Amino acid sequence: MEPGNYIPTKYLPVIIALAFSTIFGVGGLLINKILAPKKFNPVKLMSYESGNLPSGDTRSRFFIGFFLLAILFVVFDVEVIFLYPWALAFDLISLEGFWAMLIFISLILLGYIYEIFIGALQWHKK
Amino acid sequence: MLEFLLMIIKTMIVFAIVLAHVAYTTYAERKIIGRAQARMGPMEVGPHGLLQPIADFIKIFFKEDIIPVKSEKFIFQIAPLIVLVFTMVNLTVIPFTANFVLADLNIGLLFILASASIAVYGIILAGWASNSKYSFLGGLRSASQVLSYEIALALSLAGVVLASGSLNLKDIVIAQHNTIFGIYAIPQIIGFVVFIVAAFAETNRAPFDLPEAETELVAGYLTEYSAFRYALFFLAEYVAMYIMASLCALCFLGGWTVPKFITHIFPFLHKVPGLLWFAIKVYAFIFLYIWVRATFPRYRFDQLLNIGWKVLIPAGIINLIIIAFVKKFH
Amino acid sequence: MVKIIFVYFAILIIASALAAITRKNLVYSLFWILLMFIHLGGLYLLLNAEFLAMVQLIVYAGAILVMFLFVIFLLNLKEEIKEAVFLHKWSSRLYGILFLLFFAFLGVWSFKNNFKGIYSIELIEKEGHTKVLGTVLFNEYLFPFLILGFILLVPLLGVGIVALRRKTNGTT
Repeated sequence: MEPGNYIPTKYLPVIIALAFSTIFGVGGLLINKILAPKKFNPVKLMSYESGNLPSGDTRSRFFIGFFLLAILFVVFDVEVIFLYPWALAFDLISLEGFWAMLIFISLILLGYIYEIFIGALQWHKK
Repeated sequence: MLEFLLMIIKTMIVFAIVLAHVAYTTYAERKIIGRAQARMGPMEVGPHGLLQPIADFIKIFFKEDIIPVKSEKFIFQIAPLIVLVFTMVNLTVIPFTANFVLADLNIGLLFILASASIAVYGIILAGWASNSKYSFLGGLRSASQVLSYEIALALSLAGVVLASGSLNLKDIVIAQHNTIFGIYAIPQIIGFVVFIVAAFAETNRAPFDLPEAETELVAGYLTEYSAFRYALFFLAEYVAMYIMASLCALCFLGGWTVPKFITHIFPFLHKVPGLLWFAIKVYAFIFLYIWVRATFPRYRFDQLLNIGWKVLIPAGIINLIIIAFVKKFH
Repeated sequence: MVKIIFVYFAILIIASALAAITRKNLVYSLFWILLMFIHLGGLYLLLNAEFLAMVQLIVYAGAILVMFLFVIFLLNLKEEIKEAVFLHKWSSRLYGILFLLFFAFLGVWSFKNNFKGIYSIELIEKEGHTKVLGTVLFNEYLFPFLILGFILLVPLLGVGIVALRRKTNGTT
């Protein structure tokens, strides 16, 4: 096999499944559009606020806790992704590799304990 | 060309079977929760209500599809499709028995994690595109929940990968069959519990189903959706339930095999086909889903996030370190 | 046949990148970037690097892009402001054109030479890309890996500081 000649043929069912689910979703939506009644009523088209008229700008406030959670998620996701090659190549790594990953996990754990201590994930004010 | 046609037919069969299962899972859920609450569930349509899912399915097509005026039209329409497509594509990598898998990928497990990561976008974009305060906040909450528990899911699966030495789901089952206990749930009990809790939270099911709670934020990111689009979200949720149940059966309960110490005691169990064992394990997990929904009250949002970050991640890491030490110094 | 698949991925990546930078609404722009990342993952698959394809989807498209999305929501950015002229100074226009020419040249040059790593494709097919990556990473590149651990500690500390400021209301 020359580089530049490799076709990943095992992924063909994935593309077929993608196509099928899309056709199923879009087809169902089309049938729904044909069969459903279309009665225009301005109340139906307004956004729902439990009986009140929709008021105010929809995105005036955004809790910063969500953004902090996203950053934490990136860091932990990268760490977990590094665990997978280490777990697979476990028998072929020398002892240093094993301890290196344990040091890595303990570094992340240090940061994690600091987070909990500082209370970065508190969602209500005490 | 013939293989291509064969693959298309196999995919259609798998999808048809899973969709039929999904439809009857809604019926089973209503019946079981009904019995748990000392009532009978659906009994009208057909004998004992057996035709109820078909009636629901036909009814959904006749409902009006309302698109709110202030919403972002294109993304509002695309969002349920994103969730559905990237959930159903997981069905191709699941090996139902030793010979039947649609796509024998060498990174089957990571493929499921990857498509779960992209399905989160459907939720956030659905909440944002509805352009209503409730939907937006509900979408963000639901997405934060899914993100927090994804790490716990990946950690528990990392323990399984460490013990079996492959990411291919078929190889994981075969490696599992060759250990003493036969299933990974016994030596990795912590990882098993972490996986179950994370699976409940990933599929937005009780007791973590804050977005679907009627008394909170109405229906979260689903508020503005009606008719078939609404059904698409729920279809995706039930298919995700089946994917998690299959993952649990494959990675922790032995898939289509029976542990060797059981077949030593009962040798006639060799004759039972593998597909039946797989089906029994998946159905047991789905029953657990429904049983937990009927039993436990709902968690508050900050309690939910606390469990995901402060309980499950240390548990997953401890599980991984125990397995690593056992494997290295054994 | 491979060239057809590669041309499809390449055209879609460039088209969605161009669509991403020319949309007014920022969330649409992010949606096109998501499409671009999915196709980048497909490109990695063509290069026999399946683990990198999945990492692209899990970490890049699934975590970092979600963070971008939350930034857009946090700052409540409505629309991109459209100026009359894209670049004002003559020097910046010249630099832009030279930059584009440099990348076009790189693309054509790498298309003509086939670059090969030290591990053969047969070995990677047999062992699985993740395992080979793991052996290389933990046997030869151990020190950069530990440095990465320290680099990952920095955003954790940053989040801690933001949370501390939030709790003490700006008076750390």
